[in-house]
Amino acid sequence: MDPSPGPRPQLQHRIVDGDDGRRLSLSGHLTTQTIGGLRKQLDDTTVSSLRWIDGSGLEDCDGNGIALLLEIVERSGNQCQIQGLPERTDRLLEEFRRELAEAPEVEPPPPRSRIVAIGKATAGLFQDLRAQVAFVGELTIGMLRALRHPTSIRWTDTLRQAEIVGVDALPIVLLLGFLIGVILAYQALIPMEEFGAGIYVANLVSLSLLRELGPLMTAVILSGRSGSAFAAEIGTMKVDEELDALATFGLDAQGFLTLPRVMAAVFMMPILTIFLNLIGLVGAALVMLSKGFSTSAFISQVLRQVDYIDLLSGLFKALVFGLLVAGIGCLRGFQTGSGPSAVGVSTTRAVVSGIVLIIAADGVFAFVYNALGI
Amino acid sequence: MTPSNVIEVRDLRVAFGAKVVLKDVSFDVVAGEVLTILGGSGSGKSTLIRHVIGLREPQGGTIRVLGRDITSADPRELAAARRAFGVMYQSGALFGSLSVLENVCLPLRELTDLPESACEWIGRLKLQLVGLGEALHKQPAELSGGMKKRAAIARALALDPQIVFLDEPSAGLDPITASDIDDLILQLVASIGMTVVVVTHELASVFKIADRAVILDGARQGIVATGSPAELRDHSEDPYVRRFFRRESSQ
Ligand SMILES: Nc1ncnc2c1ncn2[C@@H]1O[C@H](COP(=O)(O)OP(=O)(O)O)[C@@H](O)[C@H]1O
Ligand SMILES: [Mg+2]
Repeated sequence: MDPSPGPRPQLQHRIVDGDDGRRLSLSGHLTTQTIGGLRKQLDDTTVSSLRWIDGSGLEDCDGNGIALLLEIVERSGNQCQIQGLPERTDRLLEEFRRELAEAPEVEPPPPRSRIVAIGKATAGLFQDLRAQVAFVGELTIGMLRALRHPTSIRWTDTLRQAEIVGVDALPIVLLLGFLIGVILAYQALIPMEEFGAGIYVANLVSLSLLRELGPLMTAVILSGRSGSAFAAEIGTMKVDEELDALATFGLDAQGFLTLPRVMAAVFMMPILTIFLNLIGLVGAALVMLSKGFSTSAFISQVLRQVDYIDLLSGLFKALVFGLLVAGIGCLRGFQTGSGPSAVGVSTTRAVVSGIVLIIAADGVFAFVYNALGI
Repeated sequence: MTPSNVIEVRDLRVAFGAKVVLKDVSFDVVAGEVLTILGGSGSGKSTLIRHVIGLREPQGGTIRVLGRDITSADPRELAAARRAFGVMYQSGALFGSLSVLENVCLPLRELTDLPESACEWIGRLKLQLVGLGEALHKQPAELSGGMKKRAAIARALALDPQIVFLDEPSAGLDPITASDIDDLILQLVASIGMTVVVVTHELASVFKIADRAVILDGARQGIVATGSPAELRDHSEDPYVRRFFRRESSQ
């Protein structure tokens, strides 16, 4: 692997005890690639007994070689002198000596104590909760204001985001929806058929898709695809000081970045959910068909079970999930710290918080819908 | 190949899609010299360096480094050839998750058999040489632009490479630090025979450290002049070269 052809350069050393003290004689090549072996063979006792380092036998010597000699001198308690190095390296040796003498003693920062870390993490948790609530509040106000003055909305950005969030997500939404319909129908058929109630699988699948699984799964897809992307985009902009640049133009990052994304998500979520619901029903219908139930029986069973309220309550959830997932994605982006892993951390946090929020909100919906008798 | 040429570039042609950035570029780098690459912003200086260190394949031409044609080298050969290089990227390209000292120690740790304490000793010395002795344990995100540049220089020099490429090392540095870095480069060239290829806009630095300069013109997509800086300044007939020296020296 050596870049220069020919045999690997070697460094030989001898330790001789003379009248003027112990001497380390070097010959060969004192270079970055050879000094490791020498360094390992010189233990502390040998080094502290050294009085001379003799480089007159060296053919070649680089800066790291000289640096290592100076390290040996320092380890010997500065008892040891260097002589016989190639003349052209004299000035470098002097320079290194001078710089090392000037080098300040800097201690590495002490590791943070665990108790402090726990305290900080706890405080951070509450701060984060506040930030989330405040952000969603601001966002809602911002959106309502934008809807009152539609000309203030950045339509080009919003439509572009709608394409990314909605249209581009359609294939995965369709695939997932279909699979969910198929799986749900299959699993439900096993026990239901035992009671001869196989046809009621249509009721079960349609109700759970429209009210629960449709919005939920679509929101999970949104979180994985777009919430993470928002956090990464905005996070990268933050790391690259692009957000500061926006701010110094007096431009409002919320109007510029957040609103187009969140509005796109809020508009697209119900549409995506409808697609997922529909294809899920198709999947279930196919399973039923394969088990000998006719399509018309399936459809009439579905229509008997679900009405507009079921569909609309699901779509309203989808809308709220869209707001939460897109909002938290943007928020995590804005919260990005510094350093190379910051964007990665924000992206992860966007997805995790997004899913937690969806499920928490779903719980609230279950409670409220139940109370309202929906 | 003349034995004293460490790099030979012949008829290099580089294009990004349909846009030709460099064409018919030929030049040599002689062992132990300091070669500066001059040229306007966007003239292809960084691109040229990226090709010479084998980060990107050219659309035509050959690049021989230490006698090895790196345009046809397989990845292993290329990796071996790169061991002879130290590179300072224009943006610094420090590893953000490592402290400054760890950045400099990384190549020592990974590519030599030096024990940890010796790596650190060398790392500290290199950082002290570029004036960053105080900032050893800082994270790159905590550094100013000029400090990042200096840390990147220290990292490029960590292994005492045979050939060092520096992409605008003095941009963003104060004149005193910039001049210290010039001194360091000269000293390393004189004492350990390092070869240096440096992109810079500081004419003072060019005249101080460079043995030769090549001048790139973005409009003509290539090298328009080669020679010692004084020769180019005093004798070049090329209007671009004349403007380059006159305009920049009148600053
Ligand atoms: N990855 C890339 N894709 C397309 N064009 C590029 C790319 N990198 C550089 N260029 C173009 O190549 C030219 C030279 O760029 P560069 O080498 O960075 O210039 P400089 O001389 O300032 O270092 C510029 O016109 C730039 O637009
Ligand atoms: Mg450049």
